[in-house]
Amino acid sequence: MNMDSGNRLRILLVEDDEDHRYFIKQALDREFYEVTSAVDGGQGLLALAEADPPFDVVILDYHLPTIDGLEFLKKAVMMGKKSAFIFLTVDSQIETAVAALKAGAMEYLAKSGPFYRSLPQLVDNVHLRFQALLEKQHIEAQLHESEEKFRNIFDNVNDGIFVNEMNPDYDPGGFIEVNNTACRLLGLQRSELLGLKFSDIIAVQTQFQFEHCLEKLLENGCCTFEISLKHKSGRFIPVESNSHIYGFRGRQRVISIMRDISERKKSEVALQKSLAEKELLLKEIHHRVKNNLSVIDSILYFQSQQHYNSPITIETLLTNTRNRIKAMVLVHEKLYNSRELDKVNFAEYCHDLVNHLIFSAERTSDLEVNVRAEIEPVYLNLNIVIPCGLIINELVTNALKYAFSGEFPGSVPPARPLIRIRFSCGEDGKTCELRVSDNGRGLPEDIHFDASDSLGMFIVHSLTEQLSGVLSLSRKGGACFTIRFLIPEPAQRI
Amino acid sequence: MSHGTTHSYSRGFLILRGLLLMNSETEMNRRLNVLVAEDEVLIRKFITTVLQRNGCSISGETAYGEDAVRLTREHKPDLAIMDISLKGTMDGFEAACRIQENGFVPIIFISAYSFRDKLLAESHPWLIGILSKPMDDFQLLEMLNAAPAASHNR
Repeated sequence: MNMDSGNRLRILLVEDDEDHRYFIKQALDREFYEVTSAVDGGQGLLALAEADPPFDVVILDYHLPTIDGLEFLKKAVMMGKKSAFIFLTVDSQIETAVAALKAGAMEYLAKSGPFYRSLPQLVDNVHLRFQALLEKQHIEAQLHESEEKFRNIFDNVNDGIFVNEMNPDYDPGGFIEVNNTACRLLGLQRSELLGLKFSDIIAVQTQFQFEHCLEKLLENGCCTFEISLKHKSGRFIPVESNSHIYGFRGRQRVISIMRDISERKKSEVALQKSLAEKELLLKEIHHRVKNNLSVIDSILYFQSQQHYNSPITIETLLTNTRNRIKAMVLVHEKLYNSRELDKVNFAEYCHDLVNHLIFSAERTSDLEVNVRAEIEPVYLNLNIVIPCGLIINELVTNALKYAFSGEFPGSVPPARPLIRIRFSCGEDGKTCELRVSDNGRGLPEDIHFDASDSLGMFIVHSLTEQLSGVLSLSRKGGACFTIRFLIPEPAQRI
Repeated sequence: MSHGTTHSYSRGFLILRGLLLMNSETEMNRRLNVLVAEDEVLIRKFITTVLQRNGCSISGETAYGEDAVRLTREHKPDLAIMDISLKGTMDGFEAACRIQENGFVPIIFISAYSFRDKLLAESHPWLIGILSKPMDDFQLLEMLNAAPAASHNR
């Protein structure tokens, strides 16, 4: 055997006895082995360490001068060289033989008579057994690695995996396999979880749902459903379970992959809330748009019904209307940029409104009038801002038109015509006062400020009523309109 | 568009005149008394002006649902025109239902939401109709004519 030189068995012979060495070599040479000899343990270990590939078989004498055979064997095993050892004992010292086998030797042989004659056969035998052993070890290692690999995947899946058998009466049995995520999901140890049933881990309130899903599972072989699990701490965890039935060695098993959907549920709730808010907002906006258009419509109606004492141009009529619409549009412009849904920065709004009114007046008049707005920086509700804005629009338009033109009975026109708008919320933030005054010629006593023939004043009166407010007027030293009203909630100061 | 408006104008106007004429001759020579509940003052004034110019008298006006109920009890109007959203704790719909507890009063609703029509149209015998904002004055007059008599005035 092993005639092929490339495949000759490589043997290390560690033997101090020269005669024995000679006879053993003789016996083995005849069988075409490649034999390396060592005369003591040190030489033997050196040869062993340098051998690459390792020797196939090492024949080791127990009695060696420096270190004994057992010691040699232990060191050789520690080196991790994959060689098969045959241990040679002097006589039938059974204890030594057993110790050698325990230390990793494949076989032992007592040195009695022409023991070397049986060595070739023993070498071949040991070699084959050792190769089979290596092969087995290799397969086991591969199996172990494969098992570890799949276990690793199984445990590191981000979803909880539960496996249970389906009893013949279609009752789901206890869990026979769960992964780490499943344990974490429930706050249980693997040992605690194994053996439990679905009914032990499902929240009572979803038990009924589960039973319904189980029916579907049995019917279709698979089923996706949402249930709540009971965590060890008592809280409930919403999960989506994807279960299906498969056969395993003639039994039916159910694998359920459960995903924690707490976050999804949370965002679903948030989404629904946000949707409801948006729906409400949309309704609110819709309502406001139609209401505001309705107000404009009403104003246009009154304008159409007016009988004017003095001729008024269509351009003036339309400009007045446009300013009223603009006063409302500006509210919506501010609202669009506001953080609040129904509140507007009133100071900013008034600033824009006044700018617009001055700009509009400058197009039709050469008169230079200063308009000063002193507005408390507050957020006000639309229900307040729109009437206030329209009132300011009417009073400022009125003042620009009448306060500084015509005759000044008993006084002289002011050097610097000025219109002042003031708004304050009072200490409590609720008692509001809106004042529009000018240093013009004032209102003559014979002009009633509630004269029904002025649409502007009609609007001011109506909107004061809208605010449930009180309007007062001072005619001396220019006109001064003051509206006091209460707002339901304290104004939010900026 | 303008043709349609002109048409509706003449028709609405004539029908209302007919109703008022009928009222004055066959009944107690009385003008139609209307309660107006609307929280937007300018819109309320628009309604009252339109009504007054067309021969109705206003038996009360308010921005509050609670007031509408009280005013109806006190003044027994022939009809109430109400916005569905009102100031106060009671909305127009609730006020309308309360009003009926003291006797039948026909109601015309005004609403900025047109989709509410369907919701409310569940055949309440007292509901004459719903006007969508902004409303047309002639549509309003036409709807007045469709009103049955209030029970306390029969």
